[in-house]
Amino acid sequence: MSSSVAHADHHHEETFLSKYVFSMDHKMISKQFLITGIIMGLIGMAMSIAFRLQLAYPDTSFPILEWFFGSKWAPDGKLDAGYYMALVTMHGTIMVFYVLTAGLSGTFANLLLPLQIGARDMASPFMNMLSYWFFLLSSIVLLSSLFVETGPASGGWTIYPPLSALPKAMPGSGMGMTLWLTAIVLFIVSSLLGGINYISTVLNMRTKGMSMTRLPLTVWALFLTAVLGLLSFPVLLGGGLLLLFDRGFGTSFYLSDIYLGSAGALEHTGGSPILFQHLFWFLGHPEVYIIIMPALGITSEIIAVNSRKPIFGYTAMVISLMGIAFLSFIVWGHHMFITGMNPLLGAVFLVTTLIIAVPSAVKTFNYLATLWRGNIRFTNAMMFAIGLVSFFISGGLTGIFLGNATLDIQLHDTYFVVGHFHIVMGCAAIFGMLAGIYHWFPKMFGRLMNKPLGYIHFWFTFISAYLVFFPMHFMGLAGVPRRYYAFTLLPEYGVWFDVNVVMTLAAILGGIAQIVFLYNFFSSIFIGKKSGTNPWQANTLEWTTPEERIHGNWPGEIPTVYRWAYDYSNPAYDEDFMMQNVPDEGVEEELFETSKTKVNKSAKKPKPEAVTLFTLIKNWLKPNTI
Amino acid sequence: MITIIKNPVKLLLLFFGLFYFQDSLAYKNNLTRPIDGIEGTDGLIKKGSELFAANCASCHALKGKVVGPALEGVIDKYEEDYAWLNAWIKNSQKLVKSGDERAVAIYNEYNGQAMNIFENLKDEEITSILMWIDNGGDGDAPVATSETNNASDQPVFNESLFSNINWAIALLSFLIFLIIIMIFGILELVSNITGREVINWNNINAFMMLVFLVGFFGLVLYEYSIHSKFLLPESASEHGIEMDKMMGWTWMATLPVFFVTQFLLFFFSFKYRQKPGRKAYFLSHNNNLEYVWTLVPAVVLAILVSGGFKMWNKILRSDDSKNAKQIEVFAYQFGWNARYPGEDGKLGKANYNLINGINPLGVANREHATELIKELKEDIASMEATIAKIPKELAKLKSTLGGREDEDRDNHLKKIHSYESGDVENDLRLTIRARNTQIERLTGALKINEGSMFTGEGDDDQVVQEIHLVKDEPIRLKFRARDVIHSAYLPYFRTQMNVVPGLPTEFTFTPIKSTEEMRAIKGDPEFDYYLICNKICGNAHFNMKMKVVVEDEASYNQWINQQTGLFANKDTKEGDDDENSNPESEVLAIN
Repeated sequence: MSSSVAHADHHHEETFLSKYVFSMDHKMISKQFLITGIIMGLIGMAMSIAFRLQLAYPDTSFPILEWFFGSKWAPDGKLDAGYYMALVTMHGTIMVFYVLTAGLSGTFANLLLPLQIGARDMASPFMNMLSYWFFLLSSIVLLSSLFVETGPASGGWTIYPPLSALPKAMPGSGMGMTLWLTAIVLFIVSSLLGGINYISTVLNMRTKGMSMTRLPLTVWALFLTAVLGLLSFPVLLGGGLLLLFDRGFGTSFYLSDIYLGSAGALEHTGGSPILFQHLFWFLGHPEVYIIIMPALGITSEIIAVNSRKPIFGYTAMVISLMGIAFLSFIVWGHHMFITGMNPLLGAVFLVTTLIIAVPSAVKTFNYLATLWRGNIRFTNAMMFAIGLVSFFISGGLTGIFLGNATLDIQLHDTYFVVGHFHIVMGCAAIFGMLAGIYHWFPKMFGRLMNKPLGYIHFWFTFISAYLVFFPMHFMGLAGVPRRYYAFTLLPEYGVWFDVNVVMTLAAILGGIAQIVFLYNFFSSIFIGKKSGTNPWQANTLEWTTPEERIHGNWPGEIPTVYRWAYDYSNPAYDEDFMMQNVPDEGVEEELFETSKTKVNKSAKKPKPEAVTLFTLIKNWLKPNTI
Repeated sequence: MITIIKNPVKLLLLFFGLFYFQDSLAYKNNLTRPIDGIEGTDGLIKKGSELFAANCASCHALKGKVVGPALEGVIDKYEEDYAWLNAWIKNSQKLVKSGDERAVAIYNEYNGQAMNIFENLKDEEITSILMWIDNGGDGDAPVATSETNNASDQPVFNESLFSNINWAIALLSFLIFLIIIMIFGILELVSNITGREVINWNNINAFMMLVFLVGFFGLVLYEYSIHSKFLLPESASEHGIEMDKMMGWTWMATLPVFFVTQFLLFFFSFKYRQKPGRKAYFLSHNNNLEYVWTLVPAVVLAILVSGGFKMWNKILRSDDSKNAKQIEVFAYQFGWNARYPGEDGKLGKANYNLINGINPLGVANREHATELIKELKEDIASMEATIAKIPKELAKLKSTLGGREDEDRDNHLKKIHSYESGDVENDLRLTIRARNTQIERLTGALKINEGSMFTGEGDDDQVVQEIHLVKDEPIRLKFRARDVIHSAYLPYFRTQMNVVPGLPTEFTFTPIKSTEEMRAIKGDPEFDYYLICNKICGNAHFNMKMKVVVEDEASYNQWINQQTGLFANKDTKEGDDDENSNPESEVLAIN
């Protein structure tokens, strides 16, 4: 230990480059991920506002669009149909991969894993740095595709071949698609470098006393997320490489029997477009959980801290996370019910898909039980965490419709799907990310963010998000298809015209609210109130580090852990929190364990208790811990 | 230099055009307005309107670019070049391959997105489309009707939003917003100085949670009250009714959960807000409770799963569907075709290698295949001729570089580069290779006797541009795609299936409500069923639709008897086409 103390005390002089650019310190890398993620998020959001304008005002000219995108992509202030597709594609790609995967996991895994498990840094700081630089490179390659002559990739973020495989099928499948694939390959490299690092850090570098059962739920969530990414991203890598072969070298993995309007009958035979969909969704579905699980972990932590209560059912939370992680690998087919996949497979995926709703339901109910009889502090982070739970409920329930293959026949690829995934994974994960930013901002910059501005940000974002995405379910139930540039040939859908206007205005409002956030974020870095070491009176180890955020995290020895992370409002103490590194004095030893044995004792008495409404109430009234 | 070369081309084209299209000369002379007063033009224009909607509307509008350019004023632009325009419309790719300068320029301007082939359109039909365009389309053309439909009873946000008053409101709300922020700033400052919180944010936000809860539920119910009548349109198919019931069951399972959990979430947030002196209730877990909320969702979901499972098997894996009447639905960028089996009741085999202008679905027919091979060989010859001309072309391009400026120069340089880098040649050579493979495959297929696709079953198949179905008769749609993945979506029939190139898919259903009945139900005499595309398939994805008519047997028979078989009267029809196209392509090849 002493050697690392020495290291922390007089390490070599840091230049600007080594401190802010080629940094190997996990806290700096997490900031790099965060700020890159925020910039990508803003670009993605701006794109969505641009194409929402087209949906709401298909006949109005917006000179600003022409000024911004140029007369090629927005002639006369109206988005070009092809560019609309390109924006939709880029919006999806940026949000799913660059903001909610790298921006969310990258930021919080880097920041929290070493701090919360009690490690001086990641297992391999150099790989960690590489992970960020591959991510940045990938972002730049992706954005550069906006400037190629034929436009960026525009076949949807799912890039189904043959559309994406044949440059002559649409302009966006030319150079733009090649750059998209290159960017994704780089992204996967980044993600794998990061993932291996996160896993080995959690498994090997926990401090003394930090058993797996004492890990905060954030660590569990980030750990399982890294496992998911490690197992699923390589499949997309394979799929993407085969697609590159089909595009460039004349192979026929995904192509067969194609007569293209502009090229005649092609030579390709024997491939299957469905194969790509299998490979894509084998990543694509775990990807959804790669996005949502860190957000759920962050929420678990924040809800417990700010309700001043232990998270309800820690074991159940961990088991449900594991259940979700496992099941997410065997449900990918529900994206493909009606793609021509054998209907027998559809029936199988129907079953597995609806099973995954069970652990999700458990998590929701546990959040509610944590709030129950708490002592809730509405910090900015807490507001976003509550928002996340609300989104998770709304979006999760619509998933039950889409997971049912029979109903999916009608709802597939309609606005119902758009509403569903934007709420359950888009909004919920973004809220998790924002909650995390507000909560751990003091750990990143040593200052607090402005509270009133945070409230404004929350309420405007929350309301506008519901206003944008909730009505989409109604449109989808009416059969309005997604990815339509305009509904000129389908006058029947004219009834949704005014709804589109409302949604667009709400989206603009949401966009404005993010300006408040940006101002708050960047100004608080410099002028925010000093936070002190533990501004939220939380239990976890990151709040034992000094305010200065030094290299190596702790100036002295790494603290030893004596208890689980959720000792809030324990009646045994006067304080309403007890940090993990506070030693026990006999009585409270293994608090978690004692409570367990107590339950067993009471359960042993007469019989295995039948679950009735009566026992339910009885159990509620009778606390079974301490 | 260019103009000198171009003009003889024009003249030749015009000459051949006039010569070969003389049957439609009468219309052409009247192409420039005004056309009124000439006998029969009204009928032609009306026909043009229908043809435009069926063939052109997915990629073109009169005003504004869709995928292809706006067509308004197209006659003025090509006034002297009608023959060229006609050739372009029929088969633009042939023109491009032959190296026609104007064709290549347009092809490049649109990033190599070629226009579909319309060799099936007769000259009169093209003329009538052009006449319709020249007459400014018509008021209730299929374009731009989206708002007129609902403008009467729905508020129009469209123009007013950007009027001055609204700008003022926007500015004002922005100012108010700024003021609020400043007030917050001041209060923050005060609390910093005095050391205690001026505003009890906790109570305010707790209260806001309650307000949001009420507002949220209110909004959900309000939206439902407005839009419920548009949701899940009346099912027009047999399985759709069952499916709607299942949808109802799922609503019953999820809606209470939605309301209860959202209520609890916001209510708990309000009720258990922080109060001084209170400590939270220490409760780490409760196994019984957790069993309950694991098992209850599991049981409910199991019920939904078993229902969904059964119905899925019934809809998609039922043996009954084998006996249903079959038709083929064919998707391409950007439109649909349908193929009826004709008198023999059997759909002939088809192959993508057989697709061309007169056989858009590639239905197998021995004579057609032989003709096609000939055609392909001519294609190859013309492409080889183009390759041979490349050095000359390059020299010409280089010699005309001087004197050009800005964008014009850039484009010219780009063109030179595409020749110099060998892109042009490579592209042509690859195409030649593909054509050779195609010829090889076709000759191979023609040689096979056993199991040959040329069974003759397809000769009487009828290729049509709208689907007609008999009410209460099960129908099995067999899907085939020409180029990329499309999805056939029929919302009223609760039917959707992807249309995948190289992978035949199908869907069987029974329509139970005729178009007339649905019109009565919806109270809309204009209503029609449509088959629309629901998988992103290119830039004009949003314009792919085909009308579906459900009617009684008598009217169906009447309609189907009007349709001609694909190769039924091929002797006369193909003869014409051959004469038309071959000399023309030779002419183009020479240039």
